[in-house]
Formats: sequence, structure tokens, C-alpha cells
Amino acid sequence: MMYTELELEFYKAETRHEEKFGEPPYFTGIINPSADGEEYISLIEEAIRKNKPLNQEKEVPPYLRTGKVIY
Amino acid sequence: MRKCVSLEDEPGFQQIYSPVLTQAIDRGLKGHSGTGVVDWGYALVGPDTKPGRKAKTKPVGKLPPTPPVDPNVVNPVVTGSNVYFDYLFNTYGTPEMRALINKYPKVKIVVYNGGGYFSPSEGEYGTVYTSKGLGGDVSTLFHEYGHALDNIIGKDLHKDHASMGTSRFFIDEFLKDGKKMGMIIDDSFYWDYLSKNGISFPITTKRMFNLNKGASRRDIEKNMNPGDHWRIVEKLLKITKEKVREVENVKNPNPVKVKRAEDDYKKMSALYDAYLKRIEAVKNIRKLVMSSPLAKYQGDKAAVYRQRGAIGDIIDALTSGEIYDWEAVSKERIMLGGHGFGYYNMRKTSSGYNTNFNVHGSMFFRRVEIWAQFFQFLIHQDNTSANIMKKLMPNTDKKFQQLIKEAQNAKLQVAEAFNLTKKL
Repeated sequence: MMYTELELEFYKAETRHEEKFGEPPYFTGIINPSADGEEYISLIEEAIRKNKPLNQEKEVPPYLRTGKVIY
Repeated sequence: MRKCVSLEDEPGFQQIYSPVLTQAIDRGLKGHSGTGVVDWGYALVGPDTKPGRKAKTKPVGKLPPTPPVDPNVVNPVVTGSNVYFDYLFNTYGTPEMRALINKYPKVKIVVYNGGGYFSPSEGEYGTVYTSKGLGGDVSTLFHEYGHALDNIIGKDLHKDHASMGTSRFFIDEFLKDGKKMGMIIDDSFYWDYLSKNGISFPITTKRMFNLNKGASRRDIEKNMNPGDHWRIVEKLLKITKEKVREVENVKNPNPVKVKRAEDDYKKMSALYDAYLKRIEAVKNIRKLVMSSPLAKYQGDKAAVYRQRGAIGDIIDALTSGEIYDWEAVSKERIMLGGHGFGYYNMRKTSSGYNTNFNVHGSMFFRRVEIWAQFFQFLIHQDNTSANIMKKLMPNTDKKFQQLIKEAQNAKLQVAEAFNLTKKL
């Protein structure tokens, strides 16, 4: 399987998150680790540092959860 | 005292060529709020930026001024929103697709650095929310404007009053291609079995999954968390196998019961094999993408590097999010990108909410996202992804091209008012 270096780094960060909180980090919108991995990794590191699991879905304003918007 | 004049009676008025003015007047007469209250075409005063949805995204530093549009560019787009977006269209878009954008009314584009989205109910044709100053601006804008055109063309050309009315014309084609690719599987046995028999078992060490007999597909899906679909698939394989043993290991086996149990196990095994085959097919698509020129891009200004994820999203839509579901259990990572849990089906998102409450809702997101990704590839000057998709989904590509051609050639009542396809 061919992965980009960024993807591999992201998966490692994801594993660290899961080991600490028992669940993987969750992101909203289009998830694209091979492109946006750097941003995801920094968010995961911050979540681990602050001891608060990362789930962007939970932070989304209610009107964006209703299915009335398209990502 | 203010003197009232009728502009239309003024000499030379009919010769004024101003698409922006015409558009403003048309919209004004309909009312921005869509209530029919005449507001004379004045755009409502409001902020053209919104704070990020992702509160923790990197702050964007001061951006350099947007370069002016190259005077030699063919069919320049003037969106009427932030000039930065005009620059992206005119620098990275194809002239043909710029002409298409110009032919139809424009939607408002709002700067939004929390992840792009399209809101079809805001404004007459919807509103695009997209990033400015982030690495993937081009791809986010092209994708979200793809949604906008799906909506605009649907309303103006196909006279569809519901939102996103163009992509509904290529559902048959992508279902056909999806089946051929092994992405769309006939899983009716799975749903029928659950509905007929119900199920109750500890789905994880912390949680039970209980389902009564007679449950509808919606009832079944709405309680599924990420990964539950695959856990139930594995459980059903065991249940149907045990059932065969159970009916056979009696003093006088009932041939009808044995036959029925064997049939169920056979069907479930075939479905399980189809799921595994699909995983292999997705791995092969990843290999195909990663051995293409797409693999070498990273962080380029034209944001071609983001198209790997966009191809992944088409796979996500075709499989109704079930590869992510499998990843959640297997811990293997094979997806290039996608919309994650609960977007393309009626199951729960990672936060425990349900986005869709019927099959039509999940199909809606599948078709609109496939449309927007195809549009993103078509408008981009780099056609690597468009060629990959043409190979993977020939019927969808053909129908998509046909729909775009129809939109390009259509004679609209207001077409000339928006036609800016002249060279500057």
C-alpha cells in the first residue's frame, strides 16, 4: 500500500490520540489526511496536551448539523 | 423634493450592457429574502467573512494583495464577491468552465476558514462558504462552486424547485459504474435478515446492540455508531453459520429448516465475500491513484494535491461510507479521503447525531458530492484526476459531460444578461 509521509505521520498521531482517549480524533467536512495532515496533527497534539479529546463534530454549530448545508 | 423617473423610458437605457445591474434588478424584484418583497436590488449589508467553524485552525496571517486579473485571460470570471476568488477562477480554471460560470447567475461567496460548505437555502441560488489564505483554497472553491452550479443549473435550466437539481440526472450512471467497480453491493439480504429476525448482542465490550423484529432499515441504521455495520456483518456471518449447525444437530433434522438455514448462510457468506472484495478494489484504486502523477503533488498552489482526497470522497459516496466503517473496526487505513461517518447513510456521526433520516437523504448527499468532485476535476486546468475518473467511471463521466454541455448550450431567458464570455 502506498501512503504519503504525511498520511503515515497523521495515522501515528491518530493512534496516539486513541491510546490516550480510547477513541480516534474526528474531523468535519472532507477528511483528506494526505493533503491536510499537518493541520490535523497539530490539532491532535493540542488535544493531547490539553487532555481533551478532539471531536470537531461536537464543536459544530447546530445549524451546520442539520443536513441543510452541503460540505 | 425627489423627482421620480422611469429609467426604462430614458434614452439609451436599453443599450446599457450591465449584467451586474440586470442581476441586481432581477433579484431585487424577487426580493432577497425570497418572500417576494421588492427590495430594489440592494445587497443587504452584512459581513463578508465569518469566524472559522473549526475553532482551532491555524490563524491566517496578513495575505499579500490579490494580483490583478491577467488582461489576456479568456472568459474572465467576475463573481461580485471577494476578488481573490475571481483570481483563483481566472488563474486555475479552464476557459470553458469560466464561460459556464459566467452564463448563469452568480452566488455570493463568503470567506470562511473553518472548512468549506454550500448553503442552498441562503440567497436565491445559495451561498458558498470557502477559505481564503489556506493551502487548499483553489480546491475548496472549485468544489463548493460545483455544488452551487448543481443548484443554479437545476433551477434555471431544469426548472427544478428543489435544491441541487442537476446531479439527480446522473444517479443511474454512477450506480451502474459503482456496481461494476464492486463499490455498490446488493446487501438486501443483510437488511432483510435483521428486519425479520432482529438481533441482540454485545457489539463492543461496553455496549449492547438491540434490535426488535420488524425494524425498518431506518430503525436499524439510526442506532448504528461508527464501525457498527461491520461488527454486525461479522456477527451475522457467525449467527447464520451457527444456525445451520443448530438445525442439523438434532435427532431428526427438519429438511425445510435445514434448507432455509443453509440458504441464509450461503447468502451471508456471499455478501461477506463481496465486502472483502470491495476492500481489495478500494486498495487497488488507492494504488492506481498513488502510482499516477497525482502522488507527487504536495502543497502546490494549484491544490492538485487535494484531489487524491477528492477521489477518495467519490469512493466514500459510492460505498455509502462503509469503508470508513470497516476502517473503524479493522484499524487498517486505506481511504484517500471522504466525508466520514453518517454523511452518506442514516447512521450516527462521530458526535452521535444523525444527518439523514431516510434513504433519499443519504442518496442526496451521495449524488451532490460526486457531482461536485467531478466538477472540481473538470474546471481545474490539471486534468489528471478527470482522466482517472473517466477510466474508473466511464458512464458517469459521459453523462456528466452531457449535462455540462446541455448547460453550456442552453438558451436561457436571461442568458444574455449574464453572458460575459467575451475576451477582456
